[in-house]
Amino acid sequence: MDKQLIIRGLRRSPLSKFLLWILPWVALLGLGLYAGYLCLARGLNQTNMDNRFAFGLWIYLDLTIIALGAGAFFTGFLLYILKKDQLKAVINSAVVLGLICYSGAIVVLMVDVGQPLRAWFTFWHPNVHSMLTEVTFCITCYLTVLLVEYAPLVLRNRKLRQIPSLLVFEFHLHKVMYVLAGVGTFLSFFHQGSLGGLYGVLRGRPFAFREGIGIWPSTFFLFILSAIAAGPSFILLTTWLVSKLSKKELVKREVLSLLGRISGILLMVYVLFKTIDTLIWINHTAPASGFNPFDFYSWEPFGTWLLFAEIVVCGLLPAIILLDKKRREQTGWLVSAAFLVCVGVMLNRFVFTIQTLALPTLPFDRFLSYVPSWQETATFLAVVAYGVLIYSLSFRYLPLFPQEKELRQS
Amino acid sequence: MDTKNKKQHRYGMVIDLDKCTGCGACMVACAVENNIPPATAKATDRTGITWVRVYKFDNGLPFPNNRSAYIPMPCQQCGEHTPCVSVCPQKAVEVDAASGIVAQIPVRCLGCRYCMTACPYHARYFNWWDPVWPAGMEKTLNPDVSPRMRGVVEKCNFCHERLQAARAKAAAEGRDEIDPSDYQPACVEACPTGAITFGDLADPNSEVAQLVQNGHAFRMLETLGTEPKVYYRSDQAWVRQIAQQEVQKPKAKEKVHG
Amino acid sequence: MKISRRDLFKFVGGSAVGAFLTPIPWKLIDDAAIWSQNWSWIPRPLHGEIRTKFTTCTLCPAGCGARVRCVGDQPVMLTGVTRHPVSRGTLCPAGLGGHHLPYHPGRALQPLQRVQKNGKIEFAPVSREAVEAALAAAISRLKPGTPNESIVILDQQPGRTISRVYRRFLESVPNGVYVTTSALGGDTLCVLQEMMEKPYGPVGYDLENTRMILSFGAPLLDGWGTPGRMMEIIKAQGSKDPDYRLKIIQVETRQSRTASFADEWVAINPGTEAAFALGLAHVLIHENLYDQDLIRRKAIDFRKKDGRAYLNLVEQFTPEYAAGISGIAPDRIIATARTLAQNAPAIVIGGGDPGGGPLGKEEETAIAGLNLLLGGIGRPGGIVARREVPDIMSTSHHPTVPEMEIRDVPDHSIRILILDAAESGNALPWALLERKLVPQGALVVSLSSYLTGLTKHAGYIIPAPTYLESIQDVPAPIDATTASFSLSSALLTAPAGVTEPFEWVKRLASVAGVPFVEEAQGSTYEAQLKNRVETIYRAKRGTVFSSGDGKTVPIAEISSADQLWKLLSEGGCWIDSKAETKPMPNFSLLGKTKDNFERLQVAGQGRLSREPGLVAAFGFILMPFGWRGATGNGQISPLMTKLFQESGLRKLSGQTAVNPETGRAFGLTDGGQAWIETEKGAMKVEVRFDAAVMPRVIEAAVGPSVEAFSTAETQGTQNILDLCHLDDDCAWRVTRARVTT
Repeated sequence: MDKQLIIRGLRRSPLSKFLLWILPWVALLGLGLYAGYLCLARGLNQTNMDNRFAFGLWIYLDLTIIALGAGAFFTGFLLYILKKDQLKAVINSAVVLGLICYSGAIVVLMVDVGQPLRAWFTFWHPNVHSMLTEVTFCITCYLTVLLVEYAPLVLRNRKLRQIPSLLVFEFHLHKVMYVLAGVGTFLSFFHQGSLGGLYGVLRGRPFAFREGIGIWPSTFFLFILSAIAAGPSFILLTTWLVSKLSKKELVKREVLSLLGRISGILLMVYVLFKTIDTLIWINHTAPASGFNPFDFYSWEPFGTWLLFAEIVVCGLLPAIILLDKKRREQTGWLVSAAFLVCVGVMLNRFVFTIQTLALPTLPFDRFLSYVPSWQETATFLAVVAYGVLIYSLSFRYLPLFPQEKELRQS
Repeated sequence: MDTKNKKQHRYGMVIDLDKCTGCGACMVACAVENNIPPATAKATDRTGITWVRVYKFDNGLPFPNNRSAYIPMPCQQCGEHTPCVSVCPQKAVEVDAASGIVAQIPVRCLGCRYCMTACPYHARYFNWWDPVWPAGMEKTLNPDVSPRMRGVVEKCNFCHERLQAARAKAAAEGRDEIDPSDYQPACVEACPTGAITFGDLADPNSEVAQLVQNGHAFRMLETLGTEPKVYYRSDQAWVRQIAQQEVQKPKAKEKVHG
Repeated sequence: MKISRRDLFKFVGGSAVGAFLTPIPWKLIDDAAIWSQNWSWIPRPLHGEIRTKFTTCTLCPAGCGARVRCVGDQPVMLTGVTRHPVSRGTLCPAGLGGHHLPYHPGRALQPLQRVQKNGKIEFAPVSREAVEAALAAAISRLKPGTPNESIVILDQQPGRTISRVYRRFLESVPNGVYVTTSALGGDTLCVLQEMMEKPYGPVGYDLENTRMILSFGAPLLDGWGTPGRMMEIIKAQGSKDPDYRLKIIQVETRQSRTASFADEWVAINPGTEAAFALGLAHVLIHENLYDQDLIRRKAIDFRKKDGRAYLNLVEQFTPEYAAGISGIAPDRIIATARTLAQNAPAIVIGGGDPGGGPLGKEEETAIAGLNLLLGGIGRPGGIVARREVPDIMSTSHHPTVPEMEIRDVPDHSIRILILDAAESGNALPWALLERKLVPQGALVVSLSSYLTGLTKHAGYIIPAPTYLESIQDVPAPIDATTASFSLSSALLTAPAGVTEPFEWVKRLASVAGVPFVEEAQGSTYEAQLKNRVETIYRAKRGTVFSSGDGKTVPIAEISSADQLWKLLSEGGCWIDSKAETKPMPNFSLLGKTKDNFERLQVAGQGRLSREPGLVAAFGFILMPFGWRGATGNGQISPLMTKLFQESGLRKLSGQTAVNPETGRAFGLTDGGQAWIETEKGAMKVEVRFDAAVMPRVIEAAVGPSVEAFSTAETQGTQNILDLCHLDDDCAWRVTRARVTT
């Protein structure tokens, strides 16, 4: 059965080896599911979140994986709308990654809220002024889009192709893919932004609060920019990693370079705007709220080095590397830079979720620390395990990299 | 009812910090009035529920010149850019236009806690546990307030049920407006030194409005522009400074314990 | 027709898709939300007619009026009674949660016996008869005339009708001693009485007319005396002419609530109150700021020929000398003495912190002496006389049984100890009682309703009804300037297993065969109380406050004793008229104790002076502190978690504070754990850095532990008082300690 499911012309490791590979991830997923069950059954007292650290590891996870998952929509956008045909080589992988990130985020969110049974109220009684409403609508809609995008991939499986009606269905799906890519792009742009807006609108948290254009704080745009800059890098990184792990050439080298270049250009734009935004924040927004911005960095270890690391080490530096053609052609530089980009976006999301809440607002308040409980960590790791499992299964049985066969034959 | 003719109220408080001895009567009275459950054994000051929490603060000087004062922090009932209202995804936080009271509707709350991250006053509390009262004690619950369930956010609403009762009384007696003495939140009633004055800020003749005008009144984090309706006052300059003072910086390189 | 597997799949799939087009899934989603709002385990409040009743709080001796909001007959909320003559409209945080106490998880609901089971202390049910038999046997073994074999009833709220019953009972058994504990605000007054040559009768503080209070650690603004009274004074401060505002100087090592609120905080070295007081006396005398006329006429030991006069004692305590001991600069001592004299009438109050324990008798003597020097006795704004509550006992039968404070009871002398249910609100370490018990075979019986505090050490428990479950009387609070009397009514039915102490004493007397009869006053407790009310009525003095309408009428307008009873049982309060000023008897400034001169001289050196050098060896001085009503007895509302556990407002047992400098020097971390080690043992505590703490002092809370609100409290959680050193004078204020991580 296993053999029959594997795409013709591709070589995959023996089933036993594959099972051995997924076993620890299944165990991790199991542990995470148990932890999630504990949180749902006994309540969020199972976490180490509290009234001051009302958001914790999970929200950080959501923000980060959704930023990294941005590669899915952005690659779709480049491929279908901007006709960057070279990216066909990674689009399937990108869709799977996107699906993993978004579905993982939603599952974690359902554990994170205190009354998941009422989560649908947001659709029925939406508060249109809330960034979270935007996020909820866009993420759920976009997840649907991703599922539809993932469907043809599944349908291309050897076994399923034997059913004629599904073949017809797949054919029709392909025709609407451009529409889906368009819708997906719109939705994604919006919610990447509203995730940024989530923190930017927090007038009560001067560390996160930003002014902006209309109802959108600057973080709205910066989050979009950083997500689309990091997305290609993440695809680059995962493709490279899968290639290393499976010891197979999956895409042509120039595809990776192209991803790197796209990431580099966008990152440079992002760094420019992030710098301008930070300067405005330091010189205007924060002082207007009655806070000295450098006080935010006076609690060790949350010093100004964070700002430097985020903008220079993980922003400017990889942007320069990725824009340098010579460096880009060297895999070591390319992958390291892509890695830095991903770290940068993770750091940015960390600063917004965690440092914002750790900082005191009231004069008699204290700087707080927070360490996630094992239940939170296990749930977090379960999402990673879930991702690895979905990706591994997809890689084994679905045509993730169309160039793989070609490269193998050559 | 014709809303045009209805007077707009802005209920607010002036808390005299020179009279607050930090006894905690307001916290207990509030818990009794609003059916706030006792803490579970694992609850801490970061996971407990205290709609009005009294904080201690000091002048930062070393012994023996150190001086302390206490500051009760109920929901500050922000009047502008109310941070918690705009962020709630499903309208579980509302501002009552007639009273200016920011109300939390627990049965509509999904417990996402976004409002808690939005509140700079840390005046919102999450039900981390199921509410449990010692056996028999549930008989002492206030019949006017529903107990909440696990997984929702709650906060001070200026004892809204007392406003409703006062309105009902006024209606029964054929009055358009409530008698101000019929509407006093539980903390105001319980404060043994009368440190909390409550009333309608929109009425220039009310005692609160007068106190706000009389100088030495201030609000917390005024620069955020949230226009709280809870004012504080003190004749002591160092106490007033607490509102102006920037967030205290860590002293030396102290280890932070959460 | 053959149904294939595919057909089955199609059917199931089609049904699933079809179901989404029906209202069923949407209805289920909607219901899910409704369920989440109606979990069956979320209690629903009672519903019924809302009634207002009135009663008097008996949780401490203050006797505040309480308005009770009831649903049907169930109290659901307590608030203060506006215009109440004792409590002035206020109720303290403990009182606000008083109606939760009957549901306290640590409650004893039937007679219990302390047993050791597998090395653990447990309380097992026992019959009331068995306890009575055991006690009767022990009483029969008491040999008359051997004072080292006494039977003691410890009454922490003296002056009640049950107090009188206890005394009558103790009269009827061999070696009976009636014992009380130090009362908040009352210590200085008690010592002052002892300094008089002839009995002066009860006195109180005329706080409303005083211009200054010099307090030695008394928690004036945190539950002291009658809390509402001080609060009313604070309330009125703002509207007073600044020159006539009450000035408060707080002399206390710890920055208590009163210290931070006072006009001045004099942070003296631990245990040096006597030195500071004698230093003030020195300045008052040297600068002729004292009432020379009064002292000349009445003070018997101001000057004496043997060189052991008050003057000789005070001579030694120059400002410089007192400064060396107390750590307060000479200038400040001089300034404080002058402020005292300039702000006459002024009152000097001792007493100390409710958790830190009482000051010693000598320290109180030095403090009371300042009141005498200032001539504040019997004058408006000073310490004034009040009359006793009219009592049949004081007219028809004067008690013969000795009455003393627990610290004056000889060590190892109590064979049988009966603990009354009422609490004074002050901490009382078990070690103190243990020191007074005979070393072997002492019998301790507690009448407390709760398995907490001292009761955990009792061999037997005969639980009494708790607050709101039985009718009780409340005599005048200790600080009052006029006598008062009110009743606490039975708004709830007491559980079947509890016994009214009056009934139990009667049963015990009959089992033990002692000639204790109360037939003259009737046979029920209520009849006893009615009798007392009738005595008050017959005295025709004072006024009566009625809670219902907030009016006060002269007692002459009350038609009958029954009418008075009715008013009082509905939360009313009888207030005596002002007593006429009594001529002051001669007094001794050094106190009546033997060797008083030498004792005061020693006390003046400070508590730590006796073994100098040891402080350095230990490093820290442990000072316990607490809050009236919550000093480790656990008998507080489970909602008090808000103050102790769910906010940093008050400290839980096991939480301590040290000066940041000291803390760092000793390698402690803010918020970290540490061990406190004293000669008595060690305890793990949480350390907080607080700039208000005196260097080298560790302030440790005597408060409820997290378990105080559950049955786990009965398991005997360690209390910081167990670590405190008990001085010879039964004070436990300062203890040398090591603090290590």
